[in-house]
Amino acid sequence: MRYFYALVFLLFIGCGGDSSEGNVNASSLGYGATITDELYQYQWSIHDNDSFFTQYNINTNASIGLDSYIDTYRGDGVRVAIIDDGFNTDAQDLQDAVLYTYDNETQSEGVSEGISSSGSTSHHGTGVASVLGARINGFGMVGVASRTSLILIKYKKEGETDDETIRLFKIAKEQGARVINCSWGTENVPDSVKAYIQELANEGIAIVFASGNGDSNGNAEWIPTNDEANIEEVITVGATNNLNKVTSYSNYGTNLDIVAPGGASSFTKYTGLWRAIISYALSDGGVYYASGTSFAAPIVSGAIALAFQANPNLTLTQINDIIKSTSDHLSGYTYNSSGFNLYTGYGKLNVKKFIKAAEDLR
Amino acid sequence: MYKIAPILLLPIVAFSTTLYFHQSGGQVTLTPMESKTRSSNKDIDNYTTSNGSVVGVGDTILVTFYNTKNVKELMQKYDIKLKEKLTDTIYVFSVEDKSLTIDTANALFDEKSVRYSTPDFFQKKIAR
Repeated sequence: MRYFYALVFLLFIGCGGDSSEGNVNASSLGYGATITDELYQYQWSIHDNDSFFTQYNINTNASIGLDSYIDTYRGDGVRVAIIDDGFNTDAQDLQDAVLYTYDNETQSEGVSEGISSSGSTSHHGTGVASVLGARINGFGMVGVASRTSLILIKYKKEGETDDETIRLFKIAKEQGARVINCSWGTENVPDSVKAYIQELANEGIAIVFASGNGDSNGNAEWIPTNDEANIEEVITVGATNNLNKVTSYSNYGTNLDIVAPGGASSFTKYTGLWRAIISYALSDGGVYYASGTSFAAPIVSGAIALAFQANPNLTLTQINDIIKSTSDHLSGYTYNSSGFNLYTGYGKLNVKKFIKAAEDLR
Repeated sequence: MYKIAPILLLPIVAFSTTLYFHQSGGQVTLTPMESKTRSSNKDIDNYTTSNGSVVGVGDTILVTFYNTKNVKELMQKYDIKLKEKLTDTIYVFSVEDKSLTIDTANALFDEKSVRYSTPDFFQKKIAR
């Protein structure tokens, strides 16, 4: 629990009868269609909504600027694996999104929601999957790569052996994943697991890890030396907030690559709701809000999926170069001659520049 | 004979009190924890590492080879059984008794053909 920081609230925002399951076409809407997903207007992390930003004091640069390419790329044909604590594949926003599932508890296909340490339903994995790939379907929220194909791999709640961890990555590879999102860590990655992750990266698979959420008090700390997020070949993602600053909990270090919206940690249920990330829309109108580097990572994973659609021949080296050359430097942070800062990596994801650079390499 | 016995036991005692595994070119110390958990019908001994993690050790070892030409020879030498070949170079072996896991993993690490060798740790992934 020391580093688990996802804060989840259930709040009914009164979507009304229009969003009931029976009235909604769960299939993805095509490019160019008006986006009517109820929560999109509130998704400051990806969508620039001037009036909403003004009303809730959200920095004008807080989003990743997904609007610039949402009618051009949505991750079509790109397979993204998510290894996490569980998934609700019946979630309305994930209909038509899931290509394959694997549950390491049962060692078979078919997954279910995760269970938190307190015994309640976790929603962590479903939230991560939704942030990455929620469909544009007239319901709920919008994912960064809303037409990508998801490979959902559930790890064991009570822990698993290192050989099982390797097997989970191997399944992702065998299922054709070009991106593997990992919003978790062990802080003790053995050399054999590390070598396999490096091997996959060297094969061109983008492996994205959340940088971690600080110490037991939620204060950012150096990414532990033996953490997965500290593997050089991994794309390590930290979190920014609604003020377009690095959050107080976002772990940092020399292997941090990029930051993306992950939501503020300190918010109250009613007054500061919009500082968090909308992570999961329930069919009864309920919404889960969360914050943590867990939810920044799938934003970057989604953007990489868009880049792969824009340029299927993109190499991982090129992706890393694009991260370095297109990420926005945040005000208030000093960058070295390579454009790097310990707390922001190479800066914050800017989808417009990120995808343009991918296109230019075609 | 009675005078020799303590001398013979000394290295055994010393060996068993310095538990460690190899990681990133160094050694990480393992300190036994009292509690035990059972998973997959297999006893796991819990340890804390010198970097603060909690890991479980069962009866399996995870080995990455530079080359696999002498795998059978090593299996005989250390009395280990092949449980699974994960990739061309990553193998999972089992030992007779989990009390042998850490020492056997460390002994394998010293073999020329072995790149990495650690207990096949049982550990939790922490969601972020």
